[in-house]
Amino acid sequence: MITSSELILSLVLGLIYGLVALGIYLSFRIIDFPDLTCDGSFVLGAASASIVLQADLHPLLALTIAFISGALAGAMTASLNRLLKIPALLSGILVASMLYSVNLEVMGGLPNIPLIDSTTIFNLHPSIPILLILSIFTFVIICLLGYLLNTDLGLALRSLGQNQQLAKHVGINITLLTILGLALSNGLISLGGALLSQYQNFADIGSGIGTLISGLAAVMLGEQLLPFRSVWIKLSSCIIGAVLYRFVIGLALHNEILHLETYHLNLIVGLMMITIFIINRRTRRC
Amino acid sequence: MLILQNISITLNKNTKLERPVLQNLSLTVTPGEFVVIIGPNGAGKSTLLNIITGSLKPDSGLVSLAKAKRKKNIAIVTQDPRVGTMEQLTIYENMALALKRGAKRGFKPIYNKKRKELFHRKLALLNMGLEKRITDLVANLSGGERQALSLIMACLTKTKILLLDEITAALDPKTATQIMHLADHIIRTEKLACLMITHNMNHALKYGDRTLLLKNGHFAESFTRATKTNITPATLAAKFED
Amino acid sequence: MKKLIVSLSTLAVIALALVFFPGCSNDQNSSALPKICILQTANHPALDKTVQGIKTSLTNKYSQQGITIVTESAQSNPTLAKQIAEKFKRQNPSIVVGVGTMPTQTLQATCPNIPLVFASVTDPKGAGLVKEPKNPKNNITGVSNTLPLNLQTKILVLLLKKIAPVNTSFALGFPYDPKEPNSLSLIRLLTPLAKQEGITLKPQAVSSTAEVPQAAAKLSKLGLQAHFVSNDSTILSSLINFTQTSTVPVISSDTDTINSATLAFGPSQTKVGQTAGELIISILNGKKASELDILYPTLEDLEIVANEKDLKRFKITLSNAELAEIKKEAIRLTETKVDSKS
Repeated sequence: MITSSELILSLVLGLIYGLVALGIYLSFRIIDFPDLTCDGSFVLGAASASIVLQADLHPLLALTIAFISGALAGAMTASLNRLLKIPALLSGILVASMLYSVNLEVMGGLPNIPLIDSTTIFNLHPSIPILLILSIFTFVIICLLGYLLNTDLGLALRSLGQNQQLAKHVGINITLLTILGLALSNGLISLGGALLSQYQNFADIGSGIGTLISGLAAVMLGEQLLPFRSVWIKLSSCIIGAVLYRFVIGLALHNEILHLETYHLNLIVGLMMITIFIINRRTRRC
Repeated sequence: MLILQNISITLNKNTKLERPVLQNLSLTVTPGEFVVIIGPNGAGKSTLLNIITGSLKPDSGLVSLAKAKRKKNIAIVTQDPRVGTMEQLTIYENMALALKRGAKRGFKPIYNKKRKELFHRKLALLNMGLEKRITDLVANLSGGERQALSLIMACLTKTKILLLDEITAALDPKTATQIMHLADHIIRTEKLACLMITHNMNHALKYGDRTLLLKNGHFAESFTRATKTNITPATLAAKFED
Repeated sequence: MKKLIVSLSTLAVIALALVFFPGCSNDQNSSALPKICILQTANHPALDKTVQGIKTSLTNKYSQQGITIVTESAQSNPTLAKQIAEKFKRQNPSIVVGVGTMPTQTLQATCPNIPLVFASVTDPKGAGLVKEPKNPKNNITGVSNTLPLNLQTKILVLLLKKIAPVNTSFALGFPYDPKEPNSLSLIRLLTPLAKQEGITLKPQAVSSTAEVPQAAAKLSKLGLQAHFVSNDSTILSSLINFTQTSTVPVISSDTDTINSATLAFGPSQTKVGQTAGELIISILNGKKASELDILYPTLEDLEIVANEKDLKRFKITLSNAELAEIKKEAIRLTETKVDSKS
């Protein structure tokens, strides 16, 4: 009953949430900062992109603005933590919850902005399939990130998550790099939100629900399946993990076979994820 | 050259633990000089290093190097090899990180031929075969190999002053001897000014142009290379007591 | 190398499992039974009642065996809504139904070729669903869930006069969740109308059900005569809690919630659902969705009900005859106003 169009949908959503996974990978893994800003910055991306689109401006401009606004949110969380010494988890929670008001303000007090009449990145050239646009987009982002992480600056970012004492000794400005890392991370997450709203043709204040969970699940699923050291494989595995996670949800939605109700969905998704982890462990051991 | 003038510092000010650590301490390390510091626990040895690196600010007194210049000119190796290296990065990446000490880190790729040759040459000095394992994760190295790597990393850029903080404390005796020998070799060939803290009396006597005993917040005694020949490790340790 | 082989084979196994998932056979609508797929924003009493209304009117017409009805909840998550909509599309339903604004938008974007009927959307035009409520064109029609606002204002002022007979001007608390499109547009439109009748609206934002008692306590300090609760999921979910904490009567605009409020007026959500059900039946009978105007609850659908037990708490008595009188009076006032306008 899983059909080709559902597979394509999982791919599309997987690629969009792949950006979220990349952002989460940057914060939780690369610079080792438990950043909870993402539920807010995802919606911020959707909100800021949609007001740009409503003003009939170019979709690429909308994506740029979404990235910048997300980056500002991330920089805010990092600054609260590094400059005001507010604990990392709390900084993220504070910014995410403040973003709720900011997002409503950006959206002009409306919880939902329709984009049905706007030119989005997906209907700019209707002849190009959405999947192709997203694949190219993701490919470019991975190339840029992979390049960055293998530069002196990127190496400094990677060192943050491992040994801050040595990082300090070799003259790395930890505050500045944490701000940079979280800005990049939330910029990507915000881009994800901007793409989702354009794909769905509306921006919704509720679309941030579960961003963190799906991003983390994608990162860990990817790490489990492709445990390699190379930065390139790690980045790609975030995307693969995100696509797989969407597949799992797509599968779990077919719960009518088991005569279950919609509200059983989360339970089924959880059980399927656990199964994947167990199978993977087993095959690796023997 | 490093000059410390009349340094005083009190730690945990305005608490029950308030304690004057350094009092009117002065020290001059000339270029190329190797100074060893010994002293009982709590004498203020680590505090002194922290003041030199700039992570602690003295209550009074002067440090000759401006704070901004210290990052570039001071390298430090500590006793824990896990602190001196990044476990989850390769040897190459660790060295690339150290290569940019105090310099701007930009968008240049870390991998290039020039660096590879440089790292290869430096690692070959160790005679440990690390140059053949340059893409291995540091997590796969032994404690001695890692300490050797941190020494190389500390001296990778043009440093003026090398600080060694009990670098052999976590190593077995054989590896400790090997690492000390290596450190001495690097200091001599690179003509570095070096300040070493140690609890190993043998090392304190064998190495260094000068050995200083830090006690009660100031240098209680000083031994030159000539005077050190007449002292045994046991008599040196006894000086901690009185 | 071994690690790579294991990884690739695991991925391959998962991919195969996906393709040959048990039950992968196409269970397309081979039978001739009409199939209706309903997607609601979330599970909460008001929306559940709307869905119930749709189901009732459909099963009344076709009987349980004569029609297949699938109901799913998007759990307030737009991404999940999208995946459910895609699943619906493949099941070849005769009609898809959106209950709430977000699922309707999602269904419209996902299945443009399947007739779409919505219920419980306050502002179909503002949500980008239709250009014009008359002859909606886009293969879409449905039922809004709000009474004309001037009618609501008249009822409110009549009820307030019963609650506080000595007052000439009134202050009315209005708790709402800023996530709700319905509530926000209501505040914007209702404030000037209420002012004309001497009612000052005191909005109070509440972003989760947990904050509801606090909001009630805070509003109660403002010297209000009553609270007004509109069709707002968050407030309705914890209405009973709100009412119990409140020191003044609570007026709800959803008659199905009367057991948790003091007074309630409006079209019942069940009735909204039933009306949507009738639109579905018309389409099944061969009408095109685009030919059916979007329906708004009419004056005839208006009901005003009271919760006797809670009224006693405020020492107010309102007989059924009095309520009927208020209804008649409100309709009369509204109609004369419309007349004088035209």
